[in-house]
Amino acid sequence: MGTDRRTFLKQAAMAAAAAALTPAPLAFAREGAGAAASDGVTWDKAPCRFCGTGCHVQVGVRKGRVVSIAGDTEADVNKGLLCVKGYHVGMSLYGKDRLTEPLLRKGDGYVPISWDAAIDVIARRIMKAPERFAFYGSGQWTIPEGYAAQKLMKGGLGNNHIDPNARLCMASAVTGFIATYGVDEPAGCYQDLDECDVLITWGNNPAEMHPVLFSRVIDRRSKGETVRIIDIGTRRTRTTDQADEYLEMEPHGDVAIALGILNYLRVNDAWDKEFVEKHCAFRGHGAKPTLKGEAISFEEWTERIAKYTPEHVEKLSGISAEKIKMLGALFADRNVRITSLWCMGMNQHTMGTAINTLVHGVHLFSGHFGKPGDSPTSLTGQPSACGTVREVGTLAHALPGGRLVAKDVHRKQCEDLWQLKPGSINPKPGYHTVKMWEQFTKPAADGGDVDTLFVQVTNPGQTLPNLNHLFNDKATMKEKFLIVSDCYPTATTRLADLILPAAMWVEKNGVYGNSERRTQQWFKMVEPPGQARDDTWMTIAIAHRLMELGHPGMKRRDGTFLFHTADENGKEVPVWKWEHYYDVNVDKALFEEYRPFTRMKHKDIAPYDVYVKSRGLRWPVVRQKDGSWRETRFRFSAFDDPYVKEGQDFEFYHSTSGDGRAQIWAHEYQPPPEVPDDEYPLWLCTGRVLEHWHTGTMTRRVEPLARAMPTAYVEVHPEDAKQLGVRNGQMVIVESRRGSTELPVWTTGRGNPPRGTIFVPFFDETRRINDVTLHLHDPFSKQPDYKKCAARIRKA
Amino acid sequence: MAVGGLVVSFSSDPALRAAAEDLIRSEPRLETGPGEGVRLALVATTDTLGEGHDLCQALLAHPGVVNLEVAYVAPEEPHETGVK
Amino acid sequence: MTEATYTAAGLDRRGRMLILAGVFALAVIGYFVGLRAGVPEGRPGMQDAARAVEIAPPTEDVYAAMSYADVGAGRLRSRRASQTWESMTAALRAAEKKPVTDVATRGLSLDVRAQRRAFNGAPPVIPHDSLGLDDKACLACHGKELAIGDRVARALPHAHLINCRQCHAPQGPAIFQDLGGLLAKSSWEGVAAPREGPRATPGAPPAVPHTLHMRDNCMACHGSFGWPGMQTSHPERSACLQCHAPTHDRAHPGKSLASEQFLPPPKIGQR
Repeated sequence: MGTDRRTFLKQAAMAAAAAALTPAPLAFAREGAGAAASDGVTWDKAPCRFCGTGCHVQVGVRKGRVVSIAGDTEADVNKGLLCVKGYHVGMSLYGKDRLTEPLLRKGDGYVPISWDAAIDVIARRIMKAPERFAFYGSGQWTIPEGYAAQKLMKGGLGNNHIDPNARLCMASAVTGFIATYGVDEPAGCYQDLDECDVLITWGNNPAEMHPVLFSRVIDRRSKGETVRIIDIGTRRTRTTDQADEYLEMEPHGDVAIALGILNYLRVNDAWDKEFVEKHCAFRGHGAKPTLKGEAISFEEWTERIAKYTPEHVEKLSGISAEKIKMLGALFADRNVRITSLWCMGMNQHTMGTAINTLVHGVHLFSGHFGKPGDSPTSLTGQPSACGTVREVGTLAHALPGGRLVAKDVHRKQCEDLWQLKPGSINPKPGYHTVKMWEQFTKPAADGGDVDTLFVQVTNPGQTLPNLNHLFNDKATMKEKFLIVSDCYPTATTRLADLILPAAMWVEKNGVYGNSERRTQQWFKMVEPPGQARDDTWMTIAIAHRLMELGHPGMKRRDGTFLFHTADENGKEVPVWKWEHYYDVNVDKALFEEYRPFTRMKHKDIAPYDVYVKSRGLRWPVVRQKDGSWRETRFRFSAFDDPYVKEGQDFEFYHSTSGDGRAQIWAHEYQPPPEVPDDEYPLWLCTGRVLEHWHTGTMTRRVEPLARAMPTAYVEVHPEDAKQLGVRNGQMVIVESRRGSTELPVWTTGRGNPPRGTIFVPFFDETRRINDVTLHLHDPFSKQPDYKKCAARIRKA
Repeated sequence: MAVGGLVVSFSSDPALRAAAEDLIRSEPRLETGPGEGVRLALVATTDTLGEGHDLCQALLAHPGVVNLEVAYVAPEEPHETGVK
Repeated sequence: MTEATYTAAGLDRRGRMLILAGVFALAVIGYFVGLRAGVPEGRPGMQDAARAVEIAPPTEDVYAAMSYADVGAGRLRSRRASQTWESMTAALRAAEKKPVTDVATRGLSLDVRAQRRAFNGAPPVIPHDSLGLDDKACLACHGKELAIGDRVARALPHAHLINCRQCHAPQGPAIFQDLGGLLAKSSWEGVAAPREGPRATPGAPPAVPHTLHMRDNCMACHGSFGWPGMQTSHPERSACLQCHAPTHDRAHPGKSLASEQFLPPPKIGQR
């Protein structure tokens, strides 16, 4: 470098530094980012790391560390408010036991190895048998992380064994939307919560699980508005505390209740004839049940639901006939606006697809649809279950943008967009979650044809149902190789052969998609600890190593690398080398590559830079004549959705019946697969608590949260406890036909189950209730039922 | 060689600030520029970007330094634009 | 012990000695401040309350007594119970006290305040047992300020957001106290609260050193039931922000100053 250039650079540097002295706008400040305040804290936006609500937080950083968190007052989702987890989300980065180096199993312990060695180990395992490799991901994957994994597996390896934990979380919501509207994800948005007159929570406890959204409803009461809350559930919760009406049903009773409402509307001629005649069609299963069923006439449909009289529903659901009539009359009233909310209660259900379609059907049949406040709204539990799993399609049968591996034209579109050789993508769906883990924990000799499994951003060793069937056997299976990328040691790393230290949340760039179709972007703000690295980088590095080892799928048609990434001048950046990974914004590159996939199903997303400036935007985001980008709050409604044809008031433009109509289903109530009996006399329900998020790997390392809820417990009705001779706080063994775990009794706990029901939260890795739960699942969504199985309690 | 334009914010504690200023004066890779209140403009000249990064971390670690902002970076090679 | 049980620096069970030391320190603080700075564990003062007001006898159904096994878990979950409690406490909202304004006491109050937050800006944890209390019960004491003897329940500084425990973490259930195992160690270091607001000149009214977000009611903390040492010396003046300027040096998070503040200046050419 010449002296002249050096002098010039120094002068430029000094000029820039002097300019940055004052006033406030700094040369390096990104748009949307605050500059450092007098206390040295710099603020920037990020969506919260935890649930699917998608609150925005402001992250305060000083000297390279997160030191403060505040609710983002500019965010439409949470308007400055957070929940107790959100306020402490920054602390989840600083547990002392963060994983900081790759660890390879050696005997009973581990040895640290270099990243190069770790990537090489993985690539060689895949090379040995690419079709026996599986990738298990997450609704906490960022959109670029999921997209990269998807491309590596389905595009590069021609292997469809990629599935996410969201299969356990909202797969039934997906199949419910597809069966009803022909396309996934809610039509409404959170504005429904501000405008509804009645809120019905179907097996849902938003007061604890989506507290910011629940506050959006109940805080209206403080302002003098009237909102009636009807809580339908199997146990009293904090949501019940705020409810005007609590309907305590038998497990699986929701199916009967929804059918009962439909039948009431039909019999009393109280359905919305204009809406239904213009916009709806009727469906049911034929001889062989399928996701999309077959068209049936209105008369046929009427006949199929006719037996669900209030009295019959009372028998099936335990809700009195009077209350069923009350619900029917409520939906018959066109002058109130009704929003239904549901999450795991309806999704983790062996009739998950059916109950989802039925609740949509109740809203469609009664015309409580498509107006602000009148909406069936499904919530998600993970921050990007919608963005990464449902939209990027990181499911064993899916391709990005609502495409399917089984469809020739969809595969061809993906091969073209990815510039792959024709025929690269395998037309056969891969293993869904339960099947994938069954195949992994089954010896190869018995047909277990998954040998190597890579887990990113999730903790299946605690969250899979029936762990003794799906996970714990790995401990003795030396020939199976489990790779786990995580931030902390978990119930899953416990059995891992290779542990990879991951960067988390604001230690990396990211994009999430929340429950209301809102895509949200954030920038890296602090360095990850030790050698922890981004999950996207891991995927790209593995792909590059595979290319070096000669895997043909890692090259595009033109011979370039599958994840070819170029700088502004078109020069390739070696992003597979960690030291160059942040030379360019890989997230942006992948996001822009993904964008064209989103248009087929009218889920258009905007350019990356548009999200940088916003607190998230709800798709379809459509470019306006003036060049601005407009989000969509209410899909299918002409007043807001730009894709509705002119002259229509509603249009379901991805209709299964091809005529712009949504489908109203008839189903047959079926009892749950396992019900209490003499041997196992109790219903077991599982779930979460406000203070801990999912398996607690993050929140249990946050002191105020860990102190507030130190241990899992079993909620028992006081009378049941008396009968069993156990007291509050006493240790008992909760067991089923599949396994057991030890827990303290809580007779006066968070929730109050009725007699004969017990409830256990799943956040505690030392008291794993999923050793007890059942892995049977819905036939279409393949989502297991964690909410009901037969169990018993005995003294420890 | 890498050149960085920095703005350092000192602690309001006079003793800590003096100690930080001493450190900066004694560091040959740093040149001082104009100052305003508790803020002072600096130019760092190091052999590599990594070394510059380490220098920033060392400055930040000093108790007399409240904050360090990077206003400008010229990288080692002309084609490697920007740090992140 | 009667005080909040965690500090911003982070504690584990082995740090109990530290907690004890902290409690001792807080007791000393309590001595200076003239109150026990936290809300007490359990429900002391309730007997006084019972004497002070006349409670209407229940007119409808009577609630069954709890079994002794359940008493430890303390339940008060019924709307009627909350209503009774509310009517009881309403009578206890005592006359205003003389404000405590000295700087030394303020420092002590700031220390106590910091004990209840993981960082400045975090919602404080609930420093007393709250098990079995519903949100209406929170508002019975904290809806308006309340003093019973030397114990104070401060009013909410924000509007009535009624899902209280959404943001404020409770103490762990007493019956699970020894079941949580060792708390995971954390290297978290949160940002600390400023000691005072900046003044333009000596003697000028101090600017507001904190965000105004979620702080609509200045008197919750600065009124005569507010934190000792932070109480206003002039409670008769109610337009606080008339003299005390909000500091918008990004103390208000989310306010980006990256955009231009003024229109472009006039273009002045050569003469």
